[in-house]
Amino acid sequence: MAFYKSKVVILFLLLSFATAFAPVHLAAVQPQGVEKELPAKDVVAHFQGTVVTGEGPISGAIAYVFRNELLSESVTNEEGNFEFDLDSNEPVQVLVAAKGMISQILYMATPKKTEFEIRLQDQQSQRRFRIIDSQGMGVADAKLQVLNMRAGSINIPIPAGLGISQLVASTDKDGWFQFPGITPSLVGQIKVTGQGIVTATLSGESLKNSTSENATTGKIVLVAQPARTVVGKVVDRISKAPLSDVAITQANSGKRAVVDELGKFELSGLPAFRPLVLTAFPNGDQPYHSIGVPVPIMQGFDPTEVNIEMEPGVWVESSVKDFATGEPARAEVYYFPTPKNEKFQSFFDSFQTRGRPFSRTTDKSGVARVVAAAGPGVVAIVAQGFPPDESVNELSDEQRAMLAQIAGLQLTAVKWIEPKDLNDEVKVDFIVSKGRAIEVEIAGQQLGPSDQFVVHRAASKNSFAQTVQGPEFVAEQFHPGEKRQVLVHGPQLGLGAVLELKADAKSPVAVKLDPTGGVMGRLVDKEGEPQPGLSVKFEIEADGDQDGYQEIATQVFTDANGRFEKPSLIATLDYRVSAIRPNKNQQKMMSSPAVDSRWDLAKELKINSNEVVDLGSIVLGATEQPELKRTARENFAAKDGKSNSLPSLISGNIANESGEPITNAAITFNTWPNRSGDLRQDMKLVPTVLAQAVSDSSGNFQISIESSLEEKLVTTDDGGKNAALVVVAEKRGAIQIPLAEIADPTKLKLKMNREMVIRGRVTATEGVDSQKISLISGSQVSVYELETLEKIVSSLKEGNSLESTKHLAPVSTLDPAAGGTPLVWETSSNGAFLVRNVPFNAILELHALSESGKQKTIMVISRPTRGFEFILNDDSPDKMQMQGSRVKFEFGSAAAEK
Amino acid sequence: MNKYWKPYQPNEQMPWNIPRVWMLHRRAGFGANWQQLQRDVKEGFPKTISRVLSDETREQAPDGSEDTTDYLLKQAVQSRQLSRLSAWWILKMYLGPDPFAERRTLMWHNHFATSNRTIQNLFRMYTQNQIFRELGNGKFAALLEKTIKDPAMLVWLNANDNRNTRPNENLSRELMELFTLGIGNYTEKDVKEAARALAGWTTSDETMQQQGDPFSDSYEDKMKVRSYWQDKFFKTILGKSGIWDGDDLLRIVLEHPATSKRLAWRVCDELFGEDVVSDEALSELATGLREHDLDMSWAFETVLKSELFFSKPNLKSRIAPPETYVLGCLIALDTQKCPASTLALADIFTSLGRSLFQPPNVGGWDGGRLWLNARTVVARSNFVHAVVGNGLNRNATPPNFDGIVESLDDNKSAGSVVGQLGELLLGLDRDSKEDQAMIDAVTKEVEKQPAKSRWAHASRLMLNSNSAQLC
Repeated sequence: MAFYKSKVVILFLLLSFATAFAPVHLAAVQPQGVEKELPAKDVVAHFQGTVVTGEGPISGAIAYVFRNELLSESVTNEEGNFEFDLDSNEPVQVLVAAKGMISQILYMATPKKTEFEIRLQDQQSQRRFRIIDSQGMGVADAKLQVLNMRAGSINIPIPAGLGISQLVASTDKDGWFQFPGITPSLVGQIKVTGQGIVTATLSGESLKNSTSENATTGKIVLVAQPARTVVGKVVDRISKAPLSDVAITQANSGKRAVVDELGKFELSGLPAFRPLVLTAFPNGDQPYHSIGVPVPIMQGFDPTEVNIEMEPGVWVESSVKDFATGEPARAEVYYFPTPKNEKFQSFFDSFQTRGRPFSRTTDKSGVARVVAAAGPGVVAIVAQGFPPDESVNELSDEQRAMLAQIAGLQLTAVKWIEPKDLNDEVKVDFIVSKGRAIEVEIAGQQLGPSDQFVVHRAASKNSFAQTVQGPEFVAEQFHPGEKRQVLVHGPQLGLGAVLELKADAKSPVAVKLDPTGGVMGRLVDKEGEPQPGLSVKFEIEADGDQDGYQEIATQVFTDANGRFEKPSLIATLDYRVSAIRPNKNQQKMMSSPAVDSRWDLAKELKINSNEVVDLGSIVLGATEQPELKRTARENFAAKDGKSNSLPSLISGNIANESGEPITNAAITFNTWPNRSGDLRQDMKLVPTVLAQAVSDSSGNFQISIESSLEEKLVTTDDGGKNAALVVVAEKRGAIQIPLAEIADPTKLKLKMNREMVIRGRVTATEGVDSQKISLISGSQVSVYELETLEKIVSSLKEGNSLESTKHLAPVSTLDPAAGGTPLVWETSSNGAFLVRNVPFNAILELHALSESGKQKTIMVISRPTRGFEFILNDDSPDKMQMQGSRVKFEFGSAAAEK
Repeated sequence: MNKYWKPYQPNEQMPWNIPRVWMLHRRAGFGANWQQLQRDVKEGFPKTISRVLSDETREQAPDGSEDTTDYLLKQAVQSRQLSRLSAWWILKMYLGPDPFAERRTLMWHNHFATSNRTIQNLFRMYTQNQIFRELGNGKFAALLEKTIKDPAMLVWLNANDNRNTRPNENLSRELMELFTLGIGNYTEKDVKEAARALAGWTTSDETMQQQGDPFSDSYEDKMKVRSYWQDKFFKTILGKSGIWDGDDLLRIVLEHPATSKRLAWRVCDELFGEDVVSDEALSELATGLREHDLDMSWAFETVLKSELFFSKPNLKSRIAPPETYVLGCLIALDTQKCPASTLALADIFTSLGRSLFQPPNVGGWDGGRLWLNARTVVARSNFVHAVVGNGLNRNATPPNFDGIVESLDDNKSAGSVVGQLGELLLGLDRDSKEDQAMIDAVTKEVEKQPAKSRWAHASRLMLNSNSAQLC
């Protein structure tokens, strides 16, 4: 037998400072038996522990000493002793493990005693734990594996001295298990796997003591969730030949399988009673499109069969290189067919199913192969750290919208491809560039390192202003051939310049600043009253291919006399000067200040050096809507030829049926990019809220629309086709006004009547013949709002039948697309229906149509009262019952129904 | 009192036989296996009915099973998955110690129908469920008070919106229409005045109660009376005038005779089926309930011991509700040792129209023939297929048909086995010509089958029959 002499490794004396924030792994600990020479350091105390069992001291037990990190590891000698030194009196933990025994941990609060004893217990006395299923039955033969151990908050390795590399256990026939050689409180995480159950991770916390523990039976620690199996076959969609080497994965569970040579696969351990999505990726040299396949929920536990047909395609080899270095660049490569491609819809569906598009990452040589469909398509890359190149900037709105809608990606570059057929081969090369950087020196003798300058468009054409200290800066991200107007401004110095920079300019470039100019003026209303507190903005047209205006100087406010003065504007530029009256009732929730009124004071105002332009007294006319010249705006208008422009402000008033204001109504300006037009589908969509507001105590609301939303609507919503104002008020339902129908955006008068819900039921009157069970399935109920009660009553008095009463409108206010046709509510499995958003106190006609074509019509008044008024339709032979706002249709007997 | 509710005495016209034992188990519980049917026929009616009423129908549950169910409950609430809470309740119906208590709980869930769609809080759903379980067999006054004052009901019927300044009538209306008096026994004015009486009964702050372990002792989620919302003025409710508050309102509606009638209707609705018992019989039962201070245990006992209940027209006369159809089948097939997944059953209950904790509306489930429609009939058939094929458990272990057949009294001929399976699965009466004709037809069919799959096939045929839809 080998002779062990305990060796204490007191490495911590050296390392405790150096590694205070980095946990020390065992690998860093000195091998046993080798004394490490240490620099002299104060040792507070030397400790000796003895490890004993029921049969006396035990040798070969391993002791770990921890504080915030592992301090030492040692092995007991034949007397069961081990030793260690400490450099302070702070608490430590000592973990002791030995083969065949339950590991123990000793917490030494203030280690004063220099000698102590640790008693280990035999594994026979180990506590028991149980895994059950949702029926409370034990789960037999489940496998458990301890992934890590923990002492307090420290992860510790599984003691190597125990002779087992990993701690495993399995449950007996009643679901019981215990871990050999480990105190439950030391267990970190446990992986639980088993036949017919979903793999679970169990926290060691659940093994800890608990009051709910039952002494005789132990403790339940896990309810295993039932699993199911999916089997299937993968074939070529066209030839129906089985494919091999296709990987099938289920993302959430991490389960993966590769099909065999017959194209068959089996995935087990997937969660039962949950809808799943499988993805199929072809491996190797097979040009098939990856696909997402939904797996329906099945009752019971029979394996679900999912057969996958894979679409053959064309390999597109994309290589990505960095322009500056010529080196391969790392990028994600995507392929999308264009809407004109016949494969577009199936691609789109597959993305929707999976939630995101498929991509490939470029390899070391910068090459990735993606599979494309024949016909027009686009290969797009996303390369981190590379700005979008010309190809992305040049995308048309439609193209951009398509890519944004499908992928939501920040693309770096795109290339258009059009493989003719499946035998075609396509190669595309991407040159991506971080762009060239050009140093700029600001010339001028008086300039020093403490002078501050505001530089516009230094980082890129679209970048914000940045402040630089000292007379030099770097202009970045120049594409080959790019021309950029960089503006340099020293507001305190009264200097500024416009610098025309070309991508190939020789760095450094010197720029000389000229004295700035200024603008002044006075704002009055029609009566000549000065207008104080208005803000005056100074903007120039955005650079090159950019649309709109860019604000390049801080705004000023008019004083009590309506005067404003703005010195220090960069000369030689054309300014647009506008005045804005900020909204007094600004909503905090809004992302930008609400704009009440805006006036353009000057357009294309040229400012010269050392010159202050006096605009004189300007009379502000009636409120004028801002007139932003933007191509996005033009796109709006171009959509249908109508003026469909995006207002900067939508305001109005909401009142109830008696004209009283409705307070706290939520007003949102939304869009639903994926709207199908089918109300049932659209109700499930989550709108993108672009702006929002709440009505005040007088029922007024104001909602400000940021001008940048125009861009957004152009790119994501086909020019705002689906954008709408939605107003929701408590107990009054919701109304929706499409953007195109907002004629006068500042004078909206909305009326929201009290909303009612009509509940009802469509039934048959007779009981069921026990030998012949006839069924009624879903009936359809539609609701019309009729003329007022007075009109109907007078019409009836004149001897007219109800038939002649004109239908006013179907109750379908939630759906602007429904037009003249009524919405139809289908009765549920028990015949019940529920019609929401019914106007209060309206006269309604409810039509029920059973599957067999039997019809019934009743009239109700929508009031929340019982003892309800109603009028029967005389032509209806069947009896009917009404209970308050619950309505009951009854058809004839079940037999007649059949 | 004894005109309609005479006690049942087994006699030649109404013998104590398998069809009656079968019916009792399915209606007062969920079903019985062959051993239980045999035991109860042999031991006689008095012993059997006292076992049902004293909640001893099933064998004593093994030690620790209560802990297990509690653990499942806590995990279900923690997971926030309704299907897991449903699975917990189904487990109590399926394997729990007291099926009659679960039947009563389901009845009260239907009576005080509250849906998690609105409550969105499984602990509240559980708490209400437990009130039904604990108080459902005692004085109705206690059950009503506890249920009305429980947060689930207060949230469900918008009590937080009911204030002296703007009364919300939802709670007062349903209290009168559904929980106590029934429609036609009160006026619109009564509803309005009752709403005023209930004003100020609210729940505690919604955001507070979502935090912490709901099963800990420190967790409190109770009705909160906000006195500044209460209406302290004079009210007239059901002809009685005074400065009534919510407690007075409950007393007034409980005193009203219509309440006892509605409760009598509810008990008969659950045990006989929808609109079967005559108005006169209901009135008599209602009178008895009033004499017994609305003690529900008296009503249950009276009905379950009555001749009316065991009369011939009440046998196999109603559409089996989903839980009876599903659990009755599983229990008869002796699946308790290797039970079907209760999560799967929660799914199946929903597809059969009984989504526990999510009744269709305040009126609860209408039941009766509405349980059957194109969708649910297909779902019932799928369920039978799954159970017979793979037992609906994760090991895919089908029921032990051979074991069942072995335990039958006479398993020599196919005809006799099918006959007894018919008694077990469908409660058939072998003395009836019609039932015997069905047994013969199934026998003929299974004799064509290989011996191995014969009894599974017989069970499948019978469980898919029209007769299996009845109980």
